[in-house]
This record gives sequence, structure tokens and C-alpha cells, in this order.
Amino acid sequence: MHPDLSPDALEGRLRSLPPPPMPDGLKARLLAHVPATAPASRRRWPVWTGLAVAVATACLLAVLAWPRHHRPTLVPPAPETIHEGSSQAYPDVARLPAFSWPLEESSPVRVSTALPADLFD
Amino acid sequence: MTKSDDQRLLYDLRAGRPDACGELVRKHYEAVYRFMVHLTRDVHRAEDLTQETFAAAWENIAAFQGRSALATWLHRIAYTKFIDAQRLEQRTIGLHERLAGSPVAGVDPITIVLADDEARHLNRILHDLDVPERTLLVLHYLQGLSYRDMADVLGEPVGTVKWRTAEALKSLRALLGDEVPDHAS
Repeated sequence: MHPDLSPDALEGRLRSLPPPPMPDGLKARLLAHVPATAPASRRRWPVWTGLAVAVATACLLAVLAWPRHHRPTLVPPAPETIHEGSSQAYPDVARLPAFSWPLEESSPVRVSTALPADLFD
Repeated sequence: MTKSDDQRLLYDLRAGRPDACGELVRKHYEAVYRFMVHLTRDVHRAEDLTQETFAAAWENIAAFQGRSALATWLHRIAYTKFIDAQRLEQRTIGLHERLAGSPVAGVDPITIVLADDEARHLNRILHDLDVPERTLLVLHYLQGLSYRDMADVLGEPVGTVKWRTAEALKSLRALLGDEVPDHAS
């Protein structure tokens, strides 16, 4: 009778293969070369310290190089320095647009603003 | 060995507990040796490579992150040692062949101790597979590693390992189908 060669059967046969025998003395030889304690972990603190310093330096540089906010100025900018004889010293009046005062301007004051005479007594 | 046992042992190894290294050997040396025997088909080479595996483990235990199980990690070291030895041997065998004329055939140490004819036949056919296919079948079916652990050992994606293992099983079936044991005919 031919053995079953279906995948499931073959997997089962592989899994049930007996393990090879262990040679005498192998365990003892391996244990003889075992260190008393595991080697100490490699010191990583120099790496971490260097990394921390690099990050701190980068943050400091970023803060120093950060552009200041441009706040709105309350004082009009200083006029440009006017050099004698400069053609740009005064604008050409003729080219300025016409400005007309408002024709009607109603006063917001509704009450008399005359000073009472007894105020100066 | 459960995950918690692994973690405890790894903790003890890192803490420098005196017998932690010995415990690692006692728990895993059989699996490592059997893996080497299946790959090398030579008990003496398997012993040497097992010793080399644990020697490398002591050198690298401090760097082991614990992302995989200790058994998986040891299998990875063992497989690397085997590949390195095989490359060296191929260069050496080539030189000997040129000097001596022909290589000496070895006897499979496992087959001679198997009493069951069918198991003996299966084992012989398994060892006739080429190394990559044999490695996959040994890791999964004989060593009991999951596909994920095998991917860690071999340094390949899980999907690739799964597919290649299925292909290796097909190769084994094909060889078994070509060769029927004498008692079954």
C-alpha cells in the first residue's frame, strides 16, 4: 500500500518524525563554555547624551533664528531722507488727485456749547 | 517555553544572574543541535556549530532587544553560522576536489537510527532536498516555528516564507512520489 502523499498527511508525517538522538556530553561541553554572567550591556549613555545635546542645540538655534513677529507700528514710518535737489523731495502737486471737503457736514453736537457766564464769576 | 518564561530569562540574563546563561543552554541546546543536524547531516559539524551558536549568543546577548523569542533568536544565529560554514566549505571542497578527484560520500546519521522504514525513507528524502527547501521544512514541521518566527530567522517576509514552504512541501511530495519504499511496493 502506497503511503498517503496528500499535503495534510505529509505534514503530519513530518511533524511526527522522531528527533535525532543527542550526543553524549554535548550539554556538558556547552555548559563548560558558559560565562559566569552574561556580558554587561554595552554602555549606550554616550550615545544618548550626545543625542540630547544635539537636540538641545538644534532647539536653541531654532529659537534664536525664529523671525520676530511684525507687530503693527503705531508711529508712521520715518520719512525718507530728503536730499537737497532730489527730484523726489516733493511730490508733483499738479499730479495729486483733487481732494474736496465734504460739502455737508452736520455737527454731531446737539446742545449749545456756549459757556455759561457765571462760570467765570 | 512561554513568553513570560522568555521574558524572565532575558531579564535574568541582562541582570547578570549567575546561572541565567546555563539555563539558556539547558532550555535550548537540544533544539539548536537538532536544527544543525538536519541542516548539516553530520553530527560532528552539528556539534561544532551548536557550540559556535551559543558562543555567538553570549557575545550578542546584550544587544538582543527581545522583540522575538529567545528560541527564534538562537535559530537565527544557528542558521547564520550554518550558512557561513557552508560557504567556507564550498570553497574548501572545491579545492579538495581539484586535488583529490572526488568528494567522499557521507552517511546520514539520522536515517541509520530510525527503526521505522517509512520514517527512515521520509527522512532520507527530506535530506535529499536542497538546503533552502530543507531549511524551510525543518524549521516549520520539525522545529515547530511559526511562519512569523521563520521570517525572523531567514530575514524574509512572512508571505514569502509561507509560499516557499508550500513549494518545498510540493518538492518533497514529488520526490516521495518518484521513490516508493521497497516495503510498500
